[in-house]
Amino acid sequence: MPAARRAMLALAAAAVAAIVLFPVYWMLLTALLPGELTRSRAPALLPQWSLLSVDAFAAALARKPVLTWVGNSIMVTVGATVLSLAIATLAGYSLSRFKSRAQQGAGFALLASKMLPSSLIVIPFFIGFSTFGLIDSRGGLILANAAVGVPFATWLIKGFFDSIPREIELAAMLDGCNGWQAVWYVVLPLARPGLAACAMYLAIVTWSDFVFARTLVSNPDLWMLTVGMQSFLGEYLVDWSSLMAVGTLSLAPVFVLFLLLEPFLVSGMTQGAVAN
Amino acid sequence: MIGRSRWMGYALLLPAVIAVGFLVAYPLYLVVATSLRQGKSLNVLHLSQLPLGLGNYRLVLGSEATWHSVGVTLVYLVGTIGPAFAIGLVTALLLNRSFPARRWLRSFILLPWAVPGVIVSIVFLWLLDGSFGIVNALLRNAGWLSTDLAWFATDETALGAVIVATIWKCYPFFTLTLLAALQAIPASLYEAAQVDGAGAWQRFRFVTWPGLRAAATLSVILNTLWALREFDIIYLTTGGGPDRATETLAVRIYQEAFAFFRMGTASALGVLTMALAALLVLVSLRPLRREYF
Amino acid sequence: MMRMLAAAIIALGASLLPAATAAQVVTLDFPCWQAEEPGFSDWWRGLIADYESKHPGVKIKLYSLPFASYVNQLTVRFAGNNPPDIVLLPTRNFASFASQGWLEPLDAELKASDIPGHWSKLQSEMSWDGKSYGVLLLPYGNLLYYNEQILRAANVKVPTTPDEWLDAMAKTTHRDQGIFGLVTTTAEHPNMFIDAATWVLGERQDWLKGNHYSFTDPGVVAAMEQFRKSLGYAPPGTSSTLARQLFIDGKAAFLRDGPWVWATLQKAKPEIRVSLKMAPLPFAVVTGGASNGLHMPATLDAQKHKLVWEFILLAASPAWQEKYVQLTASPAGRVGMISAAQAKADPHLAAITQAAEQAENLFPQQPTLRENFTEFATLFSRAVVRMQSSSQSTLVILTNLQKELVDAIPLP
Repeated sequence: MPAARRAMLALAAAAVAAIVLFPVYWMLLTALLPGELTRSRAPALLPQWSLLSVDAFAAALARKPVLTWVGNSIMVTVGATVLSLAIATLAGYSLSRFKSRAQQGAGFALLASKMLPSSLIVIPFFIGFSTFGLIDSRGGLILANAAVGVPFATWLIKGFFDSIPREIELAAMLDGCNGWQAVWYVVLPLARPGLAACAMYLAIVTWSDFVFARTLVSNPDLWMLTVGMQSFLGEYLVDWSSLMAVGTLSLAPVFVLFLLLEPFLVSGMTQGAVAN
Repeated sequence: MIGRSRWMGYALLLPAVIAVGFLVAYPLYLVVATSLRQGKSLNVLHLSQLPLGLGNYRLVLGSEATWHSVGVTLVYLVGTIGPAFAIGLVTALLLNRSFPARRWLRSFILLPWAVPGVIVSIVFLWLLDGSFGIVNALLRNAGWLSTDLAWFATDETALGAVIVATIWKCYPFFTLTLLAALQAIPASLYEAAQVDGAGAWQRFRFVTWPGLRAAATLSVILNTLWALREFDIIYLTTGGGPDRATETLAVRIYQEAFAFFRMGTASALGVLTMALAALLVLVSLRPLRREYF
Repeated sequence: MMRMLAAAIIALGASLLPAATAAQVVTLDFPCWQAEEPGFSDWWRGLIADYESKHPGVKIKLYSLPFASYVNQLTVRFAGNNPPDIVLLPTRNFASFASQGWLEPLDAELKASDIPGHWSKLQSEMSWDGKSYGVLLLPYGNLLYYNEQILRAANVKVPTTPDEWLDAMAKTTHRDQGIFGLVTTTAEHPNMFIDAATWVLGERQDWLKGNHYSFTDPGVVAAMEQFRKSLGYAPPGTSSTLARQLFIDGKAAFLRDGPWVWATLQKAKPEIRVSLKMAPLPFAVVTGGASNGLHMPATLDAQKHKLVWEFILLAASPAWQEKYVQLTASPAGRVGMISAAQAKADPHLAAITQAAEQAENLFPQQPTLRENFTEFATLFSRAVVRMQSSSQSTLVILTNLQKELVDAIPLP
């Protein structure tokens, strides 16, 4: 692709990113500027450098255990993502390679979990989890979030497995692999974009979960970041700049995750790995 | 694993079914059971103390407020998913090419998805504040606005404002899913099409879209189910107001259950919502099955 | 990937193991939204330390639960039969909790204590269906906060009648400069009821005559008309927290609110802080209510019942009630907690306490309305929104509201 074309694409993408990120930009400004400037009748789009300060960040981190919350969120997110990915990969493979009416039914039944309004599942979840002693535990949160993520992840991965012809597995088995090895060494690498997309999806679902985090965990030491952020909403006043500071901080780990997983989104297929 | 019996297939599927079913079964049972009990009680563990009956359904289905909510919900769904899908498709097509800083730009464009609902609400409340919001300041400067329009507090604009906030949060879901699907389309197909003299639109129609269809169908269905349940953004910006302008089914259910302490009607509304969702999945059964099975 | 999976499974297993339980100590579970609020948290922690020193072998686990989801989360816990041991409740939700049978009646205990006769008259808010269920902690009377500098610039003095107030609002509103005569809740929210009540009840009108709604009463309509006018001077779509924030930013001439604003004024910039003052509301009747109170869940065993009651008693003791005023700068439930000398030294504290003692309860006393207060306030706030956005006359809007209320919450 000619360099000029690539540059234009980069510019177009950057323009989209700028428009789309304007609210995030505003979050950042609110965290970096004194309150009255953002709450003014004619707020400035581009602030003066001299007015920017990281006081809000420092104050938020000093007054509240933000890093503990981040740590909890990371632990639960990694746990739920790994667990869901494992379950969904198995299920997605099954739906892809073993076709039967029962399989179809199960596949659709997975979607049923997406039909329950969250306000109504809060109380049953609380009752169920406390019966099994899973209240106030990260394990409970991991299980709950895994249940949320598995349905879509399964279907997504199934779609990827579908696009990988069975002949590849058969060829591998002819070469001496058993069934499992064929999947592990040949199919999964080809499904990498799907797995990467799934991992991103699962990570976001858990990272931004609020309903389970608030309902199933009371102990402030185990708060996830989403619940911790709520504590900046006081009864009488809202600590706007600290809230936005923590909100911006909450995007950092996710952004890093995106950066890390992004290369995997590029599939081997586009490089003609399959002679089709 | 090809060549193994179908029991292996079931075994592989089992963890998923257990994980999901286990956590869905009890809530589903409780919702249906509560909807059949009349009386104003949140003591869901002692449901047998309340009389059994269809009174809640009669109330819910006969109330104008319910159908108003259904209407608002449908507008919300179409208004959100349509544009979000379009934006997702455009960004996915854009990000599918390779250009400098693609890694960073991809990550930036996906970022709104990761912003928690609480923050989305507060940021948009602020951006669209009537007197002190930047959007109004810009509109005033451009001469397009002369009053302090409070977007979230005015009946005509509230639903639109809520829809904009929701689109912002959920379009990356489409971007991600469609991008992953685009990556699975072999470059050789594009090359072949180009050799055959196909223009950009024809390439899209005959190479890109068929490869995208499955992922598009699935993501539209799933995101619609999500929007059907979406509550945080609406409740924190408008609380269902002004004067019920943004009172979707999800908001109404929350209100009945937690504000008015009427679990019975809330559950009946919940069953109604699930029926709507099931209808949606049924309608998409054929396309889904065609793409995936 | 297998290694990651194994690690995840081990981590999952480890986090599922229950935490080691302490030996032989009775722990009282006490979530509280004030656990980290300046002033209140000091009082609670001091109280708990005192209690624990007097009760060896008992620990009170105080922890924070954000206010925004407090009532929600407590509802889930009560419905799931796992309530906290010590219950702090915003009083506007008290009646619905009590009507579910979730709280323990405390009549016998209260009678044996010195609380009756020494407590704010708003302690009556702790009663439901003939029984008493708790101890009021924070009674309040509404106050008028004003920005002296804005008033001076507009050559306006502190109003003493509703008409003067409306006039002052008109003269101090300069929208283009971002200055408003009034800041208040203008986004649909049950709080709008409190705002309207200060106007209506403040002018000795009432929307409840006997057991009937009387929203179409000419006196009520006239007062609501004035309330409607006042909303025109406020920025639209504002929540109560934003309203307070704007006042602290110096963007408003007037704010009607409770005593808690005084503490939050400290967050204002020094040059603005000096202009922010407090005065009594310009109404014939001071309105107020009960903000929150301490309760006990109905599911406690005899031992915990006794322990929690002793905690409540300690909180209600004269010593700790006095500290309540000092630490939180709020009125205390117990009367007479400010000495004459203190009143002279701290006039605003005296004003706050006086307002609380004089306040007439603006919340409805009718049992059906108490039980369904949130629904009542929600329907009411929709009517207020209609007042702001439509051109219908106040009488028409109130007539429709009355019709809705008669349908939704019929009074026996």
